Amino acid sequence: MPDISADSNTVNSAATKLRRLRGALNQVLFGQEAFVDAVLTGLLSRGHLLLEGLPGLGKTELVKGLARALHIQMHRVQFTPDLLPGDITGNPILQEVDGRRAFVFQPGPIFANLVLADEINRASPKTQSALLEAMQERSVTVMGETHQLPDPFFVLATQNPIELEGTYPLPEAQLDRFLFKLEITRNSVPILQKIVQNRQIGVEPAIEPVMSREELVELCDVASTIHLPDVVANYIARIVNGTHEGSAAEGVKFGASPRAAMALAAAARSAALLEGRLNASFEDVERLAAPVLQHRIVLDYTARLAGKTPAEVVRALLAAIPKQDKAAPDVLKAAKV
Amino acid sequence: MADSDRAFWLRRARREAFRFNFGWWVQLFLPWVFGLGILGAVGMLVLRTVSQGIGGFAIAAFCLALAGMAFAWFLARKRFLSPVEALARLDADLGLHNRLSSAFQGIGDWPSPRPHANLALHWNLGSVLRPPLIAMALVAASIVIPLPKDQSNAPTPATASPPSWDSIQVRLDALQNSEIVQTEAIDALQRSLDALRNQSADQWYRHESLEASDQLREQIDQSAGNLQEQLEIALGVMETARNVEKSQLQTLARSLDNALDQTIRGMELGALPLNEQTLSQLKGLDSSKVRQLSSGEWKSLSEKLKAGVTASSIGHSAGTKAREAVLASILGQGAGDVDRGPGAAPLMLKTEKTQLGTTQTESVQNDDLSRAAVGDLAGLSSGEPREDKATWTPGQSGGENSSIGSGSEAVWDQVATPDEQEALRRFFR
Repeated sequence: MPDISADSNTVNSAATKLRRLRGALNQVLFGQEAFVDAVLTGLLSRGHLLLEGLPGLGKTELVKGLARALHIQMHRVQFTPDLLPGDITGNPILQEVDGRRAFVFQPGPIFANLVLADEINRASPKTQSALLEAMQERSVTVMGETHQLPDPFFVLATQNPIELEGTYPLPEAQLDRFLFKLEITRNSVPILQKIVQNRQIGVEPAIEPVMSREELVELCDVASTIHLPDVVANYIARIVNGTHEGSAAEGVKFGASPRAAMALAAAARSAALLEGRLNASFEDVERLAAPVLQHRIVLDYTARLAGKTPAEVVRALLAAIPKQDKAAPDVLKAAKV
Repeated sequence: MADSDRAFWLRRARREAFRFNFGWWVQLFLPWVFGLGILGAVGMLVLRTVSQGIGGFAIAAFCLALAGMAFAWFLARKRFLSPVEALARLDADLGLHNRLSSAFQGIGDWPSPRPHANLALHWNLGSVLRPPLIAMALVAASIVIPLPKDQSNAPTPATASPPSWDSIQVRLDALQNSEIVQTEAIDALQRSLDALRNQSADQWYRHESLEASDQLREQIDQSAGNLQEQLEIALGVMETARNVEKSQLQTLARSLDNALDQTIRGMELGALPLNEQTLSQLKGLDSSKVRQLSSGEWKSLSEKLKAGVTASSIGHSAGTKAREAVLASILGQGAGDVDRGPGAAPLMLKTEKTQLGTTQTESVQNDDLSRAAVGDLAGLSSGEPREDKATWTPGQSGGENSSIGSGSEAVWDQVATPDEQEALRRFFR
């Protein structure tokens, strides 16, 4: 944890760069400003993202556009049931080196700054675990030899909410490694019209780099120095605790972990930086609670049978837990804002 | 500028914290207010009932109120908001993105002051005012509501005296007004009645008192009855002496004089003796002197005696049997007693049969059988036994009862033997 908070000049400069990046990405994906902001927030938090949405909504396009805008290396891995762990991490290949035969490690597609793991739930659990281990450790160990992954390293995994036959849903413990689970929704008619008018199949949108890899790393460092007020930290703690006890936690079998609290804090800082603020706020936490928590909450059978969703639990949490932890007396009622 | 912004926001935070904390204190004190209102209303009612001053009670209520305030503060303090916490609430309510909290921690600038920088809370006047208004209404009602007067010092209603005393008094008054009985005798009875009346009211209906009342009443009844009887006899004797034929007077004079003497002696020695004047007047009379009284004198004397009869007959019916008996004995009609003269007393059994002088026995017969009850004898006839030749009936012997019909419609037919028939004939002959 940095001892010195970011100053306003640094934050302003960072915000300016991020605005340019945001603008570039909004040219790739029309009508998904909130989704783009969430992706950028996740990147600034050095987190991996799980993107869920129907096919054809632009998930892959966004990741490609992000890679081009940031001028970072991107690899796309299409997960299939027959994909092997070595297909991701890389394999040692027997080669002749200096007149001798030796195994030389050939890095797999995971060795990139940005890895798009398409339909991650289609691969076998063994292959999934190879990726997830790399996500956590930011390194790959093959035949006893550890290879560091590039910095920055992001995994943007996608899931298709339909066609679930023959898939391997990610276990909850591994879902926890993703900072956000974002849902991309379909577009409205005006957006569709704009897409139709401006896009053609097979033609990728042109996007110029707006930021270098070094600048991105620097921005991630600045994000980590954004001030988190004590009251906001208290709010985050009460929200995460609320997934375990209280009226909003009814139907929750397993609540969020401390990693979720740390993820929420990091995301709040990044959101503040994105808006050019020196400190994270209640509003940042409120806005990012759902993407951070909904894939970390496990409902019990009764709640699932009743049709309850983790998103509803998070909404109930935010309604039940006040931002400031001392309740107001009944003689003072909340004024309509 | 930054200092003034800081000062503004800290001031505002303190003010809002005070408002917040005051709200908690009010909320926890309101039940005390309500309780004090109930207590005050009850206390006011009690004080008004016993007509005591409210000074001490008011002081006690004030002390209780102070204690309630202190207790409410003690309970509320853990819910109080500090100024720093108030800053966070202001951040949330005003949408300041925690700039206030960060600025307080030295990060970033204080926002510019704004005029309506308050917590998004306002007083719920209903819940604040309801308990004290109800309390005040209860106290006001306890002051205004009319109370029944204190009955502890009110005079107790007079206990009604036993009714027999009134009837005794009426009789004594009547005897007094008749001026025929000695005043001393009436006074003695009056003193007995007064002694009963002079007891305390709670003694009136005690058994001893009621029994004494009954005895006094019986004594007066008996004495007045005797006096009435004697006066009636005296009147009857004197009337007879005045009205009887001269020729009969000589025959009856001795009886009349004896009866009159006995009567006068009885009236002189009774519990209600005649007064001296009337007594001496009667003592000077005999059957012949009675006839010699003028109409006016006789009228005066007889009215006096009749007044005495009337006065002494109050409360019970006047009886004339003694008078009739005496007169009957004087006139020789015989009432069947030692003194009743010859002859048997009426309705007494005697050995000789009464010759009524009749030669024919009349029988009474009711031919209206519609009112015949079960068991009534409807008729008696003598003749050949009825025989219904159309139906076979078993052999019937005499002396048996048979019936036709059933239940209440049964008609009994008794066939008497010849001896029974002869006995019946002799009976009704």
